[in-house]
Amino acid sequence: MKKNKTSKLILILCDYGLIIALCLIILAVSLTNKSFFTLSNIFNILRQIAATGIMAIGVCTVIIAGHMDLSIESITTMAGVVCVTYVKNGQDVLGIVLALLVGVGFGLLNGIIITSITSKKGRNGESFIITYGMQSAIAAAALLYTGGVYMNLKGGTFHSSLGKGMTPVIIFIVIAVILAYIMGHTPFGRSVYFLGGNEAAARMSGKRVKLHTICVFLIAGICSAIAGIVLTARISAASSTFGTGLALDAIAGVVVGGTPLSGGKGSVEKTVLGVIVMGVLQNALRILNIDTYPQMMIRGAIIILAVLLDIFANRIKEREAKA
Amino acid sequence: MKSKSEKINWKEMLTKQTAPLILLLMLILFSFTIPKFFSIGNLTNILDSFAVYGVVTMAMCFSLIGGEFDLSVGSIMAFSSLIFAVNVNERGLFIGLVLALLSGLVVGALNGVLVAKFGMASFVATMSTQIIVKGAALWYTDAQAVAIYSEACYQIGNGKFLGISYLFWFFLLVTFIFAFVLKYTAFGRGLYAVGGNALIAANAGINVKLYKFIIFVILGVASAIGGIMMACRISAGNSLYGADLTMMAISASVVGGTSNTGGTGSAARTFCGLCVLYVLYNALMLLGIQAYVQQLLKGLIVVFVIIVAGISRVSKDY
Repeated sequence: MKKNKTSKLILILCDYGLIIALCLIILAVSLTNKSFFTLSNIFNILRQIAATGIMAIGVCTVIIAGHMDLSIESITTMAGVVCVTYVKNGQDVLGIVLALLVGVGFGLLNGIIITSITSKKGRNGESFIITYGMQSAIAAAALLYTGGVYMNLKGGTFHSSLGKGMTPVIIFIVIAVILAYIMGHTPFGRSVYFLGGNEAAARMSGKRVKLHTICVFLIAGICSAIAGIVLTARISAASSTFGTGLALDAIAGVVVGGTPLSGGKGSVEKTVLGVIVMGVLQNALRILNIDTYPQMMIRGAIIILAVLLDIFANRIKEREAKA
Repeated sequence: MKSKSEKINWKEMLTKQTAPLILLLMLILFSFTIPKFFSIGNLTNILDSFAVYGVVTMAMCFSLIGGEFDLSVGSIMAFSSLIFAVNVNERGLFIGLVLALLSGLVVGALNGVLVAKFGMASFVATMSTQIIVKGAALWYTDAQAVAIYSEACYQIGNGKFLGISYLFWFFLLVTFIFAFVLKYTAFGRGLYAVGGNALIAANAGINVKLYKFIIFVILGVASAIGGIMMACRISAGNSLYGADLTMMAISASVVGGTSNTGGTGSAARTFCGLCVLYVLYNALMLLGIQAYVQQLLKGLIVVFVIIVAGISRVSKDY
């Protein structure tokens, strides 16, 4: 009986663990520090997670389809630097359009390469290594494009209309709602889940696996480009390194949110929650005056904990299903 | 029968031995087109340059054969180089060596437990430990590089035997050990089975979890050895070492014909893969091509090689 109780506890922790953790962090930190639970700090956190969040929901759809996209951070960088060069000359709209085209182009390229080399017998992590190679290639292309120069924008309508106040957050919310609808309530979304759960079965039941896989990478590419535009507008600058490390942050948000890398499970809503938790945590650590380096270690440990919790919960569920 | 096997199967040789053939072509091409390329000084320079990453690449090849990979090797290299540097200065060479190796062993074992015991995807597990170890390395010396004041270390890192550095001879030894283990021991053959199809391997009585654990321990220790070699070569420990190590190790293995999907590959061909990449980089450098373009080419080569390997695999399936 006692064992049953602990297993129930783990299941509850897994289902509501994130919200509980979020509440606990907020409670603990706001008790020790008055500047944490204030409206301005909450806005601040939301503004900071907007770009990473947009990338995270994009890569979340790729992960649900059972693939991985590590090139998102380089696409963000490339979109940012392309955008900035045109905005600098006053061509705001052209800059945004070209940045989005960067996302569309690289997203399509990723999708086409990966679908053309994934064999009928199933995938074996090709997407991971291909997008890893793409990441360094696109990052180098961005470096080549800028010549390594840090590009500043001096105010302007681009910054005030897209980067100021809650605009980045609103963009994040709009994209999250659209993608949550697509993944949860359309035939396309359902077949992406099917595809991630069992690709061979999806193919046999007549799903257009290749097309859907390409679409998923396209979504990730566009989301990364939008994240690049939002980030550029928020900090009103871009450089060839400003996306470095964002892919891991975004994937960490997805994983902490409870979307497993094995595919077929998870959701956009969960990812949004995961990104918020990671953002609040990072802010709390900073407010508590913990050094940057121990912060990194804590973030790594939390990803491991979140995944372990998920694994234990799945084992218990399997055992109960057998019994 | 004998005469048939003596005949060289050209088609098979072309597809199987791509890396050595490319290497040969490149050596001939560059020797005629780049004036300073084919000199003993330059060729030994190429060999010396990849000894450090080579050791880790061998371990990465090992893990790719077993169907796993490790993103944390670069962080481990940085961390162990710092531990080595600090402890050599304070407590002597031997203790520094032991502690640095131990740090690699511990992180490798942690990765191994997460993947083998708890069934975590190697990507998430090693991504997390990468962040943790990188944080630890930066925290340990507050992001400062640590100079090593030891004549012995300098000798290890820069001494030469027959015109080639000690580090490269050591790397050759490591390559031979890996080649021997893969080809002539039960463990090596088991590794191919685990990477080819873990389920069948488990049914055949192979302890798959133990294999996966050992893979990560070997990777951890090899990365620590790489960190020590790097620290000796430069006479300093630095948290920036190994930033592109994962990329290099995976691409050299894949260029050498190790499948990124597990089950195939060999130490000798990985060695060829390393040679191909470093000869190419050397040629780009001698031609005076911009560093950015070199980096772009590095990424494109990996993508290209995987696409070629993937397409040939897909065409086999049909």
